[in-house]
Amino acid sequence: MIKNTHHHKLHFTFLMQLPLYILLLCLLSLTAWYFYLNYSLFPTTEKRLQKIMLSTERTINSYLKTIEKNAHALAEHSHTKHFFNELLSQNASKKSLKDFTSFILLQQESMNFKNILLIDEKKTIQFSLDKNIIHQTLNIQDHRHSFLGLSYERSMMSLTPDFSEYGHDPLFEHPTLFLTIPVINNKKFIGILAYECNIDKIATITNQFTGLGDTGEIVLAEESDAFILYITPSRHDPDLAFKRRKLFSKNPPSIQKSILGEQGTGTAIDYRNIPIVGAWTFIPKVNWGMIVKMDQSEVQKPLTFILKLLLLCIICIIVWIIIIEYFCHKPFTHYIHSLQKKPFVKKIPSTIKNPFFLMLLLSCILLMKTIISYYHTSITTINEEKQNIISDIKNGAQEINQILKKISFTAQSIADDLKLQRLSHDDITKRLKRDLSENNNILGITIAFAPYKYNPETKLYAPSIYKSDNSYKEMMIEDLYDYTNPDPNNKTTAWYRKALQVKQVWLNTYNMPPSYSIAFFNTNNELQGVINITYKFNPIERITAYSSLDRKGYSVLLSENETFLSHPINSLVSSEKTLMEYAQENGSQTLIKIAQILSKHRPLFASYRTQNDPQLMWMYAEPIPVNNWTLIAIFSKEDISLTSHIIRHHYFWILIYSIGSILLACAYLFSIQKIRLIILIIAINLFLSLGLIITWRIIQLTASIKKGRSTIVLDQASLDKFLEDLEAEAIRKHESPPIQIPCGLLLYSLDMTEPDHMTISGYIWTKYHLKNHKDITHKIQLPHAISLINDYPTTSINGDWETVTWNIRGTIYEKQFYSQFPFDKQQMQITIEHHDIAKNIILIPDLEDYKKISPEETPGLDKNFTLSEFNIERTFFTYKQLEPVTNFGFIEYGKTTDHFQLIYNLIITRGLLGPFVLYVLPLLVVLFSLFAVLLVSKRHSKPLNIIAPYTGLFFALILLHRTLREQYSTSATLYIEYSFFFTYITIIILVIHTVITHLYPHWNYYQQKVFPLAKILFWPLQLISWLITTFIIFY
Amino acid sequence: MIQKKITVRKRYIILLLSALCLALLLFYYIFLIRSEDIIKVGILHSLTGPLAQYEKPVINATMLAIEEINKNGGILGKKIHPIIRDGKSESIYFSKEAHNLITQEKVAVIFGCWSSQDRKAVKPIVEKYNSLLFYPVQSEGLEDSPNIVYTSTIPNQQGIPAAIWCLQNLGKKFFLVGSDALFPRATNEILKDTIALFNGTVVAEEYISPENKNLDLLVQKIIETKPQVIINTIIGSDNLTLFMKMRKAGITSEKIPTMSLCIDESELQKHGVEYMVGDYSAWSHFQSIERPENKIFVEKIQKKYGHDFTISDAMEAAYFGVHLWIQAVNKAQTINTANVQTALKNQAFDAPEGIIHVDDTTLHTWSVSSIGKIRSDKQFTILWNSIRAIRPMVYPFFKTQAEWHALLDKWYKQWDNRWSQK
Repeated sequence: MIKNTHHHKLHFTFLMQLPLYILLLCLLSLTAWYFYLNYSLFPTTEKRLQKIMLSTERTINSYLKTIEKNAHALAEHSHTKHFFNELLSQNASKKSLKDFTSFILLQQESMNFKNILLIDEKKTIQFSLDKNIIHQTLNIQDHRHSFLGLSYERSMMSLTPDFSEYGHDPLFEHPTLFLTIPVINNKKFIGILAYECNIDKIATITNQFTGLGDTGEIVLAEESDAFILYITPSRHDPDLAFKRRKLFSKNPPSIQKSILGEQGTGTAIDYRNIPIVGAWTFIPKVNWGMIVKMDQSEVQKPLTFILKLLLLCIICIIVWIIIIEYFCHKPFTHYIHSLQKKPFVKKIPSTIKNPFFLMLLLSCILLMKTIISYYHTSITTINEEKQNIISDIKNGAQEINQILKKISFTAQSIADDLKLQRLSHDDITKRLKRDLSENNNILGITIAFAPYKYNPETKLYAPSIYKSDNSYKEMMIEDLYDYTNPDPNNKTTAWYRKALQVKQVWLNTYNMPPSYSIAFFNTNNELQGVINITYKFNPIERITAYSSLDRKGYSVLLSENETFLSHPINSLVSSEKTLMEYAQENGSQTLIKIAQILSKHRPLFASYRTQNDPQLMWMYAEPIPVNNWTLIAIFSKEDISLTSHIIRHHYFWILIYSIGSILLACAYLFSIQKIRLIILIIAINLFLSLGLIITWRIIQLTASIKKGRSTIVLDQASLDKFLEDLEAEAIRKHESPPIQIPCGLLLYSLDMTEPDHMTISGYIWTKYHLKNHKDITHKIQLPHAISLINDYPTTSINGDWETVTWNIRGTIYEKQFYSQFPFDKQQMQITIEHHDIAKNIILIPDLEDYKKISPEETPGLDKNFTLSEFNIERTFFTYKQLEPVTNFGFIEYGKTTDHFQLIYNLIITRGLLGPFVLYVLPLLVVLFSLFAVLLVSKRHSKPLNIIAPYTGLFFALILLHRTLREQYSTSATLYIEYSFFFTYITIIILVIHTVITHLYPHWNYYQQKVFPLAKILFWPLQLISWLITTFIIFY
Repeated sequence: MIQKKITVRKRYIILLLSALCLALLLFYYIFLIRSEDIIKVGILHSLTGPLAQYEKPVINATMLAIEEINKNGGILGKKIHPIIRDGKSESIYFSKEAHNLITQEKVAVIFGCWSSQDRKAVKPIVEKYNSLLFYPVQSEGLEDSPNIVYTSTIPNQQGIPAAIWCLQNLGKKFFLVGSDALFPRATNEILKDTIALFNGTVVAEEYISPENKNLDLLVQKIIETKPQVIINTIIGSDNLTLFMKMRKAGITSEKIPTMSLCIDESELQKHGVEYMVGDYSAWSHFQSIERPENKIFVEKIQKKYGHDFTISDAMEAAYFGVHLWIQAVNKAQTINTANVQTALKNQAFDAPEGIIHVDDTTLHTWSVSSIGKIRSDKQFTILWNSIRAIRPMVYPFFKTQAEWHALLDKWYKQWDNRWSQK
């Protein structure tokens, strides 16, 4: 019988364990399946996408071949040649024009082109279906480098058909793709036929999503001026066509490879910065890149599903183990016990067997790993950024060197030819004109002969050729002034004088065109004169400024004697100050040493502090070999280190592991009876409180504001870049560039009266050019103003400029975000626009009128400006593109022109003292009171005596909460509110506890075990709840 | 006892079998795996003779590309093993060595040849054995072969843009001068039609050969005919003599500028530049092209071969030729010629000159065209650049394909069944 029972027991245990084995088998299979899919999913998808890509490529190529065939047929057609000849000989009658137009229209039906242009040898459009562009020429500056102009040139120069780039052409008011093909008649080149392709067909091809799932799409793009230009709309972004992205940016999108001629498959990120799996190729005829892609998240869906199954399986296994433990007489516990009795387990020291010690060890390892990872990431980021800056500056210096080298070569080449008599005096003009035409950066060339060196009868002879618009003008310098004047203070003749002294000289006098002069000799090394070249400084200035645009630092260009040639602070350039003088003014010994080292013209990486700005600044200087100028990048460590968001992530994890380790250490010490329970409790509460305070400090130090879609203007260089891009965009769209009106602002006061309103007072001024802006209304508006008093403006005239100043007082709508109160950081914005913004007028920050434009110097705020509760961090200007959701009843409104609003930004952080005294302190008092009541309450205490204080504290808490809500009314939950919620829950639990104690005074388990535990865990639970909430909200 | 003996014997047999297996594995590893571990490619250029000085730098560029690929793990899991053969500056040796490379060395591809004569001599060999030749030098076109990839320019990518640029910027009266060989003859034939197309005139067309090298007479003729531009297709050191004599006779670049189609940076380096400064050249690639890819290429070459090493168009074409072949092999996943030929079509590469690609019908590359002005530092200032690659026009439309072939035959016969004057 006993045997039978035992047998039944075994049978039952086996039956119970069977599902466990099945589950374990499932777990194994699922893991294997997971790994198989993990390795095969992407390659399989890549192959599938490659097939789609090849098929799409074939379709596009076949369409392009049809276009070529059609264009060729038209260019070779006798009707085309005959009519083109008639046009050129101006014999085209109205009838022949009508006939040819009918012929083209007939062909249009079958060939599906948009337009046909006949362009003659002089690049004048002789025929087009769009009559508005007939007789327009591609030879003028704007059109010469247009896509059609460039394609015309390629086709004509190589006598072969050529596809243009696809994009907005200044001549046309829509995007164009042309195939240009030479027209030859009777063995003479008569012009080019430009066939405007219909791109809709290609958009239709790329808009097929069969086999591409829910996220797959086909994207086409081309390279345009070092930018990736997207060609067709995509599934995820119907406005993608004509959006641009910088080539070789930090995170290049997957399409970049295809644009640069690569074919392949793999994983990458796309234009939305989303990880994708794709297959890409290059379409050579049109130089387009194409990618067929799917989001990785969609491809990985089966993996996610298996992961979920795996998780479910693990949970089932754990649950089943618990069930077996309960129903089958704890087989696993017995097994562990039996294991512990084994001699080799007994040998293991008890410390290692202690679970707290093991957890402490794990926690410490994780802490070390996080700290190392943080330092590694931080150092890597800084080093990478440093290298990027060095590389940018080196490239910038190289570019400047190339420009200057070309100028010096031109001068040297003339000097050599004059010396060896390869250039005769008769050919001088011809040569100078040719040299001018071959170098766009040269403005003028002068050959100034030394007295009586041109010929013994002529004392001075200095022919000079300079560019004026599209022509060359000649003049004789000796007719204007005596260039041999030896007066050392005469700036006009410095180029000749200094070239004689030092043989070659680069001169950069403020407000005068920069020049390069070189002395030339005859074969006997006798001085013959000086060659002087004046050149454009803008390209060099632009390279200097743009060398630092992608980061927060700035770039400076110094001359050979360390005079500032380019600097964001214009006064340093205009005063022709040297770096040494600047260093001495600032009293920075390090900067003085740097200036001394830089005079040796060697690359230098250094750091320094100035008196005005105690921040540690880093700089990298790269000499420009051709003339010993120096290009310098200046930046602070904060500019290039990790973003505050990432730093906060790292700090949070370090803190979590630190607190964990300390608590586990305390628990371990308690477990080996090294400390008493009271010490343990005090230590836990102390460290948790400390952790909370440190967390708050981390939040304060790493607070940041999410950047919206706006262009930040920090200095003149970034403003220039923005305006230049705007002008380029306007030219591309065949629109006039925006009219720029300088505008400034000075705030006296700002008060945040209501959660969504702010009251301001101060001045706003605008400047109008007396001639150029005479037809413009002298008015500005603040579109977000609810009520505004702007008194009559005062006007003042200074030179050609009229300044209109408005005294403003009023209330402005400004949404504020309180969800992180009291650790919130606010960005207050005052939006300003010109009254006639729709007439293509843009306000530009009048940076020159601010003494200091660095955001930390808070330009635009009065000296006595203060803001209660807040600290002012920085102020700056931004631009925001107006994206109206309505056309205001005007059909054409906003169709092409971009309108930008000027925004004055004020970044403020909340002072913590106020909220702490008002809300945190009372809350702590309430919690202490609750704890005190809990401590003094006994098993036989009257329940009402205990519940009464709870109720009182509850009402106090409600009042406090209400005050908070009234002051910061928002739909979101404030951070500090969570502590109120926890206190409410605590009160409820305490009330329930009181009721249980009263109803079941003899429930010993509760009274002896749960009750004391509640007292012990009161503060740790409060603190842990606060900590977890803080980590979740601020992570 | 017997049982014990059987056990001992069994042990010996197992031991013997194991040793045999090990020996077989070793043999397989040494002779089979190792022999399959490399892919042989041929490099066929002159290491001796007068052309060696021009061709050695091209070998260097080819080797650089091969080294780069081997450094990155090779191709199809194998390293590339270059076998260099000497063409000895004579077409007959080029033909012989090409035959050896294909039949004896079993190379997968040949990178090489210099003059059009050499290429013409190798063409029947690569066609007969269905092999591949990557030809890195500018040519006259008028030829295509499924077994030759022409990585440099043909007249509509070099000579025609140069002539039209001269017509637009320098003048309409041309003097054509060249060596009496296939490239200059054919190019000038095409240029004459091009010049006429734009209402220009050719005042004279002169050729020099080893037998007829009276350069004084040539200069005299230039003075007499008063051209506005000289288009020069002279190959080799005769260029220097001609320029010296022209300058002596007062023909400066201001008076009559010269557009040369065979003078590159390496020529300037060898011959000296003082007589050529201010004149012009047309190529796809100049060392001074300001593209990041070109800067990297120049740095690589100079790092390996010295900072004074100048880079020519042919070197660049040889460099990207290797990369194009590698890309095609990668795409085809085999070195089989037929598969690689298919994979080569439309194969593109971001070359130092710009993005180029192989034409899908002719296997000529779409190349960028540039005009440069000779500087005193033996480099060029780029004056015009097509920005995008220009499609190759193998048979210019001035004549039919048959007419071009007839003309080629005529010259071939005229030169005693050779592709140049002796």
